[in-house]
Amino acid sequence: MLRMVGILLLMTGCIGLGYHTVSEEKQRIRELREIRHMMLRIQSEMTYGKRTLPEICNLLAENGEEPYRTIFRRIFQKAEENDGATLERIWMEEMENGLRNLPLKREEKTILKNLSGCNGIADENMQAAGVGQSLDVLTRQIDRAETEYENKSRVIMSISVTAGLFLSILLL
Amino acid sequence: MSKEEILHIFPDFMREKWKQAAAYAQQLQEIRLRVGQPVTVLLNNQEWFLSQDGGWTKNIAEASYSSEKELEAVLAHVCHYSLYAFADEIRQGFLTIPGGHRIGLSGQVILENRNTVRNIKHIRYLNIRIAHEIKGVSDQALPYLYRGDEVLNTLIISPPGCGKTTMLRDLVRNFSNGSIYGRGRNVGLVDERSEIAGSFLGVAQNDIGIRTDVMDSCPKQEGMMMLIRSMAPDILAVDELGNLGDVEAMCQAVPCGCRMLATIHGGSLEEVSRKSYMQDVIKEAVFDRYLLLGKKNNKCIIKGIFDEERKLCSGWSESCC
Repeated sequence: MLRMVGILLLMTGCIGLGYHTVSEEKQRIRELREIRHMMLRIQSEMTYGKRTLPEICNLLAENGEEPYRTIFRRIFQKAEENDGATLERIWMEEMENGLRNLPLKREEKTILKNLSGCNGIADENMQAAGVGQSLDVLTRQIDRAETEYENKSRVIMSISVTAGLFLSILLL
Repeated sequence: MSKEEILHIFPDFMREKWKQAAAYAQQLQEIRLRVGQPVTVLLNNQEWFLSQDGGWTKNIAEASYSSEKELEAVLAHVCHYSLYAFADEIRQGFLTIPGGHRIGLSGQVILENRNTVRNIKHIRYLNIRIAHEIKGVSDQALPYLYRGDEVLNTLIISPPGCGKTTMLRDLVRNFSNGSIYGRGRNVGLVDERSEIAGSFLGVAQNDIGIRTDVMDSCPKQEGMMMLIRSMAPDILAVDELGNLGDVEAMCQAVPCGCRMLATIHGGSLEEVSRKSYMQDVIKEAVFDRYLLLGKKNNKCIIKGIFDEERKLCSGWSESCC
């Protein structure tokens, strides 16, 4: 009886670990899609709304999901305080803190972090084109992540079940 | 006008240098930054250099110089790091910032179709004009601008630098809020150069009254018609009638039941009458009152208020404003 409980726990643990890895990958894709959605919003607010970056941050803070809502609210608030810090510095700091716990790769976080770096263009279309370039990189990253997810999820789940079985046999 | 308002114009690495100077915010009229040239400021109508330790000096050897990096940082900072959002203002050569202060820009112009300014690149000269809103300058003229409860069509005539825009702003505020001479009216203000309301991101930075609607950065002709169609103003206010188009748009507004409040460049009523586009307007007495501004002992004054027949209004005597 105890052996059976042990095997059951072991299998649950292994499958759970596999499921966690797969869902983290799924969460990553969800986050990337959310970031793409926000970047599209930034682009359209630049071209059609001709809003400043702090104003756009305020809009994203009102309509966005967590943790982006908090990140953009803090950027807007700090920019409004006008203590002299550049928006690039505020943006980098807040992104660094806010994105820390998200299941994103370093290069994916960098896309969003670097977005405020190219803000010196005096033409809204050119400025939006700059965001568009980051958007292209992000879209490629999403495609890659989706393909990886499809391939990996089955493999990970198979490995976790096999590993569970293997460990059970080994411990018997 | 506070010390903070001046400091807020500059990014953090420049604030230390301007801290001492910002304490004179009330007297500060103008700050000029030119790449590679000493920083000059206009303080109580006197030109000074900003010294390296942040004070004022008349000695150019002690002056602080502006660098390219500093100018670009100031421009980026006042544009909220979003130059694209201010492209139209930059094209016109000036920006209005919170507090109603104006920053004139100069650099290399990029042309479109050979004669239209598409943009300004390599902005290397900034002229920061500090706005000092003066309230009450029109109080003495106010009783002459009503007939009963009715506001009269008024033209403010003034040479440059005699307070034409200040007078217009104060009249707009008075007509809008109402006074002992008449109730408050809905005023439609076409602020082509953001000088009157000093709007920043659409919000008026100067006190222009509680019943004033502003069409900011809009050409006068379009602005007047848009306001009439959309906001039903009792009074339409515009700055600097400068061509026949402006006058024609104004003449279309008057039959719509709007009262006109406008300004024009000129040293006298005769000088204005000689302007080709103003001849018919004056002959047909579209304006009921002409408010003539000038200077006396370096002070801006109302030199006279004239009626539709161009006669001095009875009871009026020259006064300081």
